[in-house]
Amino acid sequence: MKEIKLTDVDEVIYYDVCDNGLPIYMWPNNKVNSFYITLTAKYGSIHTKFKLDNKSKIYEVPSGSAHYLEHVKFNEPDGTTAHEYFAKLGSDVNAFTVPDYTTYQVFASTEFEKNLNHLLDYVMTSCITKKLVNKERGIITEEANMGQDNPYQKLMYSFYRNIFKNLNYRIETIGTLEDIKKINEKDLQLIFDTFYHPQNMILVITGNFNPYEAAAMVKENQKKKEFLPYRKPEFVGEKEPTQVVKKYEEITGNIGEPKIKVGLKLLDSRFKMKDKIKLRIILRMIMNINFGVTSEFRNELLEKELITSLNSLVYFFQNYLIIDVTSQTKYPEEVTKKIVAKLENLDVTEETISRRIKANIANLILDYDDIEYVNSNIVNALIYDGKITNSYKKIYESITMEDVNKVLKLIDLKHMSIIEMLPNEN
Amino acid sequence: MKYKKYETKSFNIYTIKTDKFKNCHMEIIFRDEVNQEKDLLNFSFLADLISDCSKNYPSRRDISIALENLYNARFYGVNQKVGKTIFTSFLLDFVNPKYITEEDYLTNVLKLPFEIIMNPYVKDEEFDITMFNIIKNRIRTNINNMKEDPTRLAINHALKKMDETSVTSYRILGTIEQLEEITPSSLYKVYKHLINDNSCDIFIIGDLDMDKVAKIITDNFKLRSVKSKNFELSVENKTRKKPFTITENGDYVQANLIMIYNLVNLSEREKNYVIRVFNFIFGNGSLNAKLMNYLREENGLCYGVSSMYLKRDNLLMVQVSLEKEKIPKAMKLIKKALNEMTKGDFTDEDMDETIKYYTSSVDLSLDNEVNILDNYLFHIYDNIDLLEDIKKEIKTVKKDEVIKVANKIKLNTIYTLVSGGE
Repeated sequence: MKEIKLTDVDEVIYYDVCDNGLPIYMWPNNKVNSFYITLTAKYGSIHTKFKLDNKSKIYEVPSGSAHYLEHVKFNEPDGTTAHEYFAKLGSDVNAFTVPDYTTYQVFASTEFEKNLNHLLDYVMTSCITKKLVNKERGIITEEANMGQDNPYQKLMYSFYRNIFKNLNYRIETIGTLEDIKKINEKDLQLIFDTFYHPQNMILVITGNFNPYEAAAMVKENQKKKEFLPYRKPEFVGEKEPTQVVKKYEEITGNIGEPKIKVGLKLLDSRFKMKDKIKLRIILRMIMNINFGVTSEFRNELLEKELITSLNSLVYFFQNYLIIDVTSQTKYPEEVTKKIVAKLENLDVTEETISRRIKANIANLILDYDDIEYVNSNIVNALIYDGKITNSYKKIYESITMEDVNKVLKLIDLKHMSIIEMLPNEN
Repeated sequence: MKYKKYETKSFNIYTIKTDKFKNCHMEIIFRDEVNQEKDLLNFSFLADLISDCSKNYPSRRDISIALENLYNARFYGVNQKVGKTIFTSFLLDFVNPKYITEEDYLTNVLKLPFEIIMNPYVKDEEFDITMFNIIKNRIRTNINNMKEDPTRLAINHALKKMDETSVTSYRILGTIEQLEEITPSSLYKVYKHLINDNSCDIFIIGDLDMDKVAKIITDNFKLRSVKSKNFELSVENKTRKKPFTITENGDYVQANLIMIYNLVNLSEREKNYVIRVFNFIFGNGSLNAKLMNYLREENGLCYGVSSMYLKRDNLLMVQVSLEKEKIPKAMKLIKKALNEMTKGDFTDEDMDETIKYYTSSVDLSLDNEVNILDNYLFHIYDNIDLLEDIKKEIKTVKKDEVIKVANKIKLNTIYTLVSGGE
């Protein structure tokens, strides 16, 4: 057992690994009553093409397969469901699929061992039949229909489709309605056998429990399980061009007021900053200072009654980063021009940077109040950064104006995409 | 956890001392009776405007900078309709001062909300027009955006169709017409009413020296002398001899079905405990609940179906989004599930699972400072038990009590929002 000391917040994350390769990350907090366990497969909705065993054959599954498998996984070989098992314990069980991974979760306050063992058992046991796959199809189709009535989802995926030509972030996590019809038990079995393997999964436990006892329970559980040999999957995708697909698009939706998104597509390598976490922090601070609640620009647009909302996000998609500025406005054309002009003239001062750093450091402390939030932070750190960072404070304190100005200079608008969503005419 | 009450001439301070959390949470709550729907919009407008500016901080930007300098404290105004009462609350979240080196941090962070509330951005008995318009535009957008969420829209319309004179159907957001009637001077009158006539209390939770907290608050919050009052929270909605059925049109892929039921003459125990056990088995629980089982698992009619218990409105509401053609079958299955509940067609195992689930949910609530404070608040205002007592009491609910409650549920309205409907 190793200890990862989080010096900023005086907390410890315990790390251990099973003989079969399953890593276990644990943050005990004995001040709370409950515990939260997640088992994550590093397989999400973007992973539709892959190679196995270092061979050249490419396997392809329909879009939406990761999410479909998440639904089917709740069935158990004896004809019951995982929901039924956890209901008997009074636990809250669920799962979710995002572009990069699929997580199965359980919340409870008693019967730690039973909850832990059964989460490992039902997720890691295969139970995929034609009948069960067909049973889920109607439910998933209704879930997809629900998404079609969500204008924000429509706007977001239209935006991604205008930015990415090949990256699968452009396709809805749930998949297209055509692909949902096509998904079969063979696709799901292939995914399960390949990706639901201890070497491709992460177990994270947070809350009230003893980490030494928990690690021993997990190891004992895994000893009894047999897995197919790990096939070293390698995801395949066509190279993503640096250009955006569409520079401008106007769409309509069942909305009350127009919404716009201005997006910049940037290769992260252009910033020549080895520490990607530091780059992410700097970019988010720059955008927050220029478009967030403390920005003069936002205040001015509000006072001139040009907008009712404005916010910005920075996402990392593999080797690209996307800057996304979103607004609700009655004057989409004029506000778009102003946002573009602002993006051309981003500015920060020492004062604004040091205020943001102070605010972010306070957040580090507050983050460690919530077992769900800490669990999800650990999963995200492992998936996106490949490691747990033991001092974000050090990173914040290492940021200089020189670093910030260097990043600022390299943000350009060459690959920009704008989308406007206008109300349906009816 | 240590609960304590401090009384002043004009308000009470309720404190919960616990070392469970690094965050501290405070709520300044003003309460008033709701007489007409536009009261809600007035208070909602006011909560947004007060929390977004003041004389010394004339814009949200200025307040946000002040909050960032207080180690990212968060301050915001919210409204909640609780039966016949409107709560206008100002909430503050801040990091425990023991993690901060600045000596005066606690005083500075606690002073800020009172400074903002007591010094509104007003000139000549009118709110500043620029900030007034910013908030007005935001609310107008929110009203116009209602149609972006078909489920929320359907619920609002269903309650209006049930009885538009009932407080239950009053919307906090109001209408564009009601919004246009509000002016900077009319809103200032509402502000004076809030400060001078509303009942006010303060609730705070954290690992703090609560005597010191109470002193800082009383030093900085000089309110008129209006003692905390009790308000009637419960709304008795009318029943119908025959359910009212109505269909409306909407431009959506999925249809929405809402079934509203009256809960007739429930006792306090039934309202606080028995109906919750009923609802978990019926429809507000896991995939094993009857509604989820019949509609989703056995027939694949929908992704989700929920049954919501509106305690202070004495209503139960079933909501499901699905294809229009599936509505008749869904209604049949919902009726079947309720019918089974009235006949006791559920197992002792269902009862056991429900009670275990509730015990576990209470444990989860005890891990969240806002939930603990919320429970204490309704312990004071609505006489509900504290979380630890709820854990004990829920275990005493018996199957025959659940059957009895099921027989007190009467269908009132069936509302459908469909694409291309009647």
